[in-house]
Amino acid sequence: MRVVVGMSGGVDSSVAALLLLEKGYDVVGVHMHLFDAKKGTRTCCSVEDAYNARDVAISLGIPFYVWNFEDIFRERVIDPFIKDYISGKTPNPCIACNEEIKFQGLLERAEKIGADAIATGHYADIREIEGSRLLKRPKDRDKDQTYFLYRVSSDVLARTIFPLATLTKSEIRNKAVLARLPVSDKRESQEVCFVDGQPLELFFKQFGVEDRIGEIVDEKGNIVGWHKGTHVFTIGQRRGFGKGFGAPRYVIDIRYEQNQVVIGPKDLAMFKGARLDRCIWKLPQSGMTVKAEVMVRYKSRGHMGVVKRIGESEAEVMFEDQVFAVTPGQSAVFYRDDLVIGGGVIKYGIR
Amino acid sequence: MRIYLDHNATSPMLREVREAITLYLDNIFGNPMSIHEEGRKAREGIEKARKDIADVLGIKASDCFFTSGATEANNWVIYKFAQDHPKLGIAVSAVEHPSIIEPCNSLERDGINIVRIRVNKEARVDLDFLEKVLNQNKIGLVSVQAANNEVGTIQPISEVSKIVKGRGALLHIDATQALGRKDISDCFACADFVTLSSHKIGGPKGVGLLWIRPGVYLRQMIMGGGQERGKRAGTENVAGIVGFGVAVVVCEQKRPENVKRLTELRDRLWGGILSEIPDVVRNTPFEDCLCNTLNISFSSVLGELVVVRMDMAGVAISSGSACSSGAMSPSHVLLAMGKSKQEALESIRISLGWENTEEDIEMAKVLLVDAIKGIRGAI
Repeated sequence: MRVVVGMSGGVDSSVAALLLLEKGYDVVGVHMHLFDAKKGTRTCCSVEDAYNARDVAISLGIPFYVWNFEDIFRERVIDPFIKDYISGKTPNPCIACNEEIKFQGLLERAEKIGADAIATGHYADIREIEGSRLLKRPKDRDKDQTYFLYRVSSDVLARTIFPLATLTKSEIRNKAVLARLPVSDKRESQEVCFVDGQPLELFFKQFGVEDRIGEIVDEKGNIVGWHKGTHVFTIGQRRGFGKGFGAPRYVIDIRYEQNQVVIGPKDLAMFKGARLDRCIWKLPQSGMTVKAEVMVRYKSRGHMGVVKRIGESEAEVMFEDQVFAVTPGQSAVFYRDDLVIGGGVIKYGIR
Repeated sequence: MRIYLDHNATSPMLREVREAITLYLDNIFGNPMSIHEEGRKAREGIEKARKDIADVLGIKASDCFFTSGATEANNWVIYKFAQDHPKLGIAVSAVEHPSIIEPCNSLERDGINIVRIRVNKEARVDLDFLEKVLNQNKIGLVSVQAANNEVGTIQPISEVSKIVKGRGALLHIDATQALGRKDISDCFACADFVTLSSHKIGGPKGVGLLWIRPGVYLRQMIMGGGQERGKRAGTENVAGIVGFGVAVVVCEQKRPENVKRLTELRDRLWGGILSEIPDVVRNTPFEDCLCNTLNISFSSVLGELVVVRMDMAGVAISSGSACSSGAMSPSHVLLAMGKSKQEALESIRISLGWENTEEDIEMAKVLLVDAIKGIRGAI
């Protein structure tokens, strides 16, 4: 069976390709060219990453191609990212990228070259439940990336393989070493791939977002400072608005219309619920409410809560405990028994 | 057994070339600048190559300067002319090779007046536009290729030359793609600088040549040990140059029969594709085009994917231009011809060469038709 593996040049996708080869698949490596990194920045998907991926493909003896997804990436990931940030939200572009490009986009092209499935180096697993393909947390829970993948459709998951599902990061690294794969101990990309390596302000400037001077106010409405644009703030942020307030202060609200950033004590950054839209439901729900473990951010712990469906695509989640920094624009992903059963985009937190 | 149909990218080495080079890889290893016997033997090899090339092309050996390739030769002309004449503009066709375009872009950022000459929908230089450009700007150098690498269009260089000479400017012709595929004596008759490349005609990679008309001055770009009569420093790529020499001689000798044969093969391939996929679009002009090139597009089919499928089926073709990461971006030539970005991304380029046979073409046609139908069917 022919499988197209998305190869970023990093250890994970390299080992994913190796594992598939070992299992006897007809493996084709593809590096997805998503955007043109500016010279000098150490962003992901730079020219060097393509070369790294090519080197790995050569050492594995598999065909390797670089496919251009620049236009669609700009349109479906970068532009919405900027738009959301400017309007005071904190978007998660990796979620949009996985939904539209890394999976759907790759699969469409893969099928045209005779592949039956795609594979990536994501830490995730897949289970078939009641005829639907659901994401499941992988063996290495610390590296679990299912949070970013919740919007990938069941149809696409039915034609996706996650070779790293049952391995830990260190097992994967060992495999790379034993196979002498030419992946260096590359520093893993921690931030958004197209921003990584430069301050967010600089990124926005390059894309034409201008400074908008506005007020920083406290919870009582007093003006305590100034900012150059709400787009570099996010709920729960502790820095970026000066010091000397006595107790630690956090961003508790971003008022886009008034161009204000509101800061306050930590307890005002705690929420008991969230209103969501653009919701996805992976299982036909028997009732309108579902108990689930909810993650409101990547790498945070899940919070038990009750999800109530509202209409076709909205929902309200009420948590059992207070949750820190429920942030508009981020996603809330619902888990049950380590399976992703749905999720949605946070419209606002409920105090 | 693979079928190689990407000769505009590079060509397999001719048998004669390989045989000639072998001597220079083992026994004749000296530095041509050395005065001892080892050096002299190496020197003899490159001067013979220079003379052979000059004789077969009808030019003078002393006007030929070896470089590391066409890219270097092109950079040399553009940069050094600009450096010596910063107040004069440079006009280049919109469909030149990146080794002309990129130096011009760089010079433009530094304040040199660069004008790009429009082309028509066959990628041919718009002569009226050229005249207008030369009337409205003080242009000192015009660079127009002899033939285009992406679609195969042959440029009207005698007409270009008349216009350029009429304005007292210098003319550079990048004849890389034309060598061996058409008679290029008109280039040497018309131009002040001509670029040639070795690896497109079955010679080794990493060698090229700049011909400079006697009486025309171009300062050296690469400085150092005074090689190439002080015009291009650097220890000569002896084996490469020797191979280049042999390649030029062989391909010029075989040119008439090659042109005839490749034209037939190309036309047969085109007819075969057209009969099975009637909506194929031909980007290569029907007249005045290189004998070996066929650039075509299929609507709603990404050229990138066709290349991959053909590669997997054992056939090498190409599409568009590759950016530095290796991804395909729309060919600037097709865009200059008036194609949309989408149309440009749907194109593929098939370019034949000395070792292709009728069987190759038949097989390629079958596989290509299969690939297109497969991709369209998979929607």
